[in-house]
Amino acid sequence: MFKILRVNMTAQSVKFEDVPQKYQGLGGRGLTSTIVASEVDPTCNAVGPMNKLIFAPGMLGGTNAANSGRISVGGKSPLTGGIKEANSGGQAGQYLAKLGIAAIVLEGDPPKGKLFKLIVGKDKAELQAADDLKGLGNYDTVDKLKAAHGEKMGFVSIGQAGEMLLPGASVAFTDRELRPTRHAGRGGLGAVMGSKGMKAIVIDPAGGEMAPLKDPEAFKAASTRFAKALADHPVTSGGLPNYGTDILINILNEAGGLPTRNFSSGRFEGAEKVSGESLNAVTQERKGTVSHGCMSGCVIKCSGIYLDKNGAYMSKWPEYETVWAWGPNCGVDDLDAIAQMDRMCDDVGVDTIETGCAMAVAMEGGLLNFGDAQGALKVLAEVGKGSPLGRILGSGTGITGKVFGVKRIPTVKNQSMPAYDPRAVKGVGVTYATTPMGADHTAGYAVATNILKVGGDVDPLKAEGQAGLSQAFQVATAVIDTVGLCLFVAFATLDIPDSNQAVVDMVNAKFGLSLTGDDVVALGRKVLDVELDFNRRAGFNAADDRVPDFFKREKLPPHNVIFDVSDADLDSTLKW
Amino acid sequence: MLISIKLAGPLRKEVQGHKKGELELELPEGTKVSGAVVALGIKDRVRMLLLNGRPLLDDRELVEGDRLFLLPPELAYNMYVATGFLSPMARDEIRRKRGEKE
Repeated sequence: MFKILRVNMTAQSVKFEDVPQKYQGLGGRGLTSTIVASEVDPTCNAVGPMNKLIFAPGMLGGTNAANSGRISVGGKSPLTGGIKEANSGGQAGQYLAKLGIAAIVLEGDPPKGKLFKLIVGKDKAELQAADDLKGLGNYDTVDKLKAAHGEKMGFVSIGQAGEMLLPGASVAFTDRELRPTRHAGRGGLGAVMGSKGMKAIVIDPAGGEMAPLKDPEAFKAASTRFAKALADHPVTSGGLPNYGTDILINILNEAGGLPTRNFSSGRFEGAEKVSGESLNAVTQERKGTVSHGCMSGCVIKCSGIYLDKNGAYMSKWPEYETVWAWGPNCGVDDLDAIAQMDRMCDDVGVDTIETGCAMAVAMEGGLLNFGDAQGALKVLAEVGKGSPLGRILGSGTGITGKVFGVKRIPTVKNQSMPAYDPRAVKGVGVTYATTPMGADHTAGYAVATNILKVGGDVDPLKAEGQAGLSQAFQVATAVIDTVGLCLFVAFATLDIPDSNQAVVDMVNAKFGLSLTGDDVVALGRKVLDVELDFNRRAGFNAADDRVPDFFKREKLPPHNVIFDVSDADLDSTLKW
Repeated sequence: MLISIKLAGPLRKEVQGHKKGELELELPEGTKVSGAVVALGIKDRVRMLLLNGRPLLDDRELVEGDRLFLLPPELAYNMYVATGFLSPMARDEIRRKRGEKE
């Protein structure tokens, strides 16, 4: 049945083993976090031999459930020093699930100076030398891997940033067109992969099979209901396919919560120029692709293909977070420049959020003027070259801010805040402060219960009710991440509560379980408890669950608000 | 009274006379938020709205210089936004569907 593939870089060995009892009944984030918490010393050096890197498809991986091909990557984060799960689309999740692989665990210490690639297929795995890939960006790496292994593969890789063990390094996954444009971005797990000497993983899906189902009839009925909900709901069938996540630029701008010029204002005068509406318009003008799915089985297709002025491929559609980090937060209103930054980040293999925020603090520190897009492109190019300036930027916002003497560094647990100012969208601020992941917006992104009862009357600009809202969102998100679904399926829940029940029914039908709604909540809480425990053992305490003090003092225009959720409320968020 | 409107995404195809979603609307004194939406011809198409950049719990009268940002159901994403910025009309509709008292 399902196996764990252990890859020991010290012994240079690969071994398939049965899934031990303590890891059964889990997938995705639930599995990566459980393995990390069980096998990694929380006080270890995150780029040393005692850390491990885990790849795991979700519980619904390998089925034909819509949008079930996500993959979780887990380990101790070199950026935060705490536990980390980073999530990605692309093809790897489905391929591994269909090969019957519950998780790949990279462990041990590679021979110094050597790079490797792991070839994984049906009942086979092999470590091979990969020194010919040294110093290459992800695009060139994938081109060489395609030439060596053919094009019917899925590729996982790191760019120069991961090789250099930079704390902002990402893990890249190829999409259906074999572009390395989907990333497990947050928290520097690309550096952990680099510390294991692993440049790439080549996944050969040949011989893979659909995952076995305990009750195929019940599964089919539930997955049909689920797919119908996604096809019917206006967000998943209309908004996301046509405008992508970037539509949020104008929304957050109007709400006064779009962090601008290193979180100094909540509105950006150039917002419309980099909005989802503009992205859709310029893509249509240049005959790019407006709706593009990053993984097989996706029925939402929120991504797109961005072409430059001459009609040549530049990058996939930059996400809201990327547009924001390199756009409004840097004072830049040039979508072409931002798409180029997106491509460069994908190529060198860094988190666009972390690195864009690092650029913004560097601008505040005087390295460049805010709005200097061309200057930002030049500095970003330094990352791949490994120059001292490039290494600073690639090490994230916290380090960059310190090096440039910046007083206003927007991080929690040393991870940079994403594209919602916590003063204007206070519920997100509570999530930033309290999630075990560090400042993270996707950690609290989904709903399982009837959220309109809990959250429908919670004002984003006020402190009341935010802790309860964040708790509900974080628990639900932990479930979605464990099940392996794309987070965006959750939007359908707001109007079609049955879509949530359909997910529970699919899990029950696949595994022969009888989980109820309460069991699902318990699962989400269990995943969070495992993560919170790891962080405690790593040395974190309540003092780390706070936003930087400038958010509590500086009033954010235009609403002139501060982050005023009490410490007591923050401390109650993940207690049950 | 004159108010300003910003339309999001697909609503820009459903309303005429705007520039990149921005337009000004002349309304009779005492017109409520719901009335403005009707005057634009997009009744039942507004799921979320911001009045002067803030969420609005209940329908109310507009005043000169107010600014409305209007979003259709297709754009109800990011959970905090989708729940926090529901239009009063959408909140009423949801409560009615669930048989709750207003």
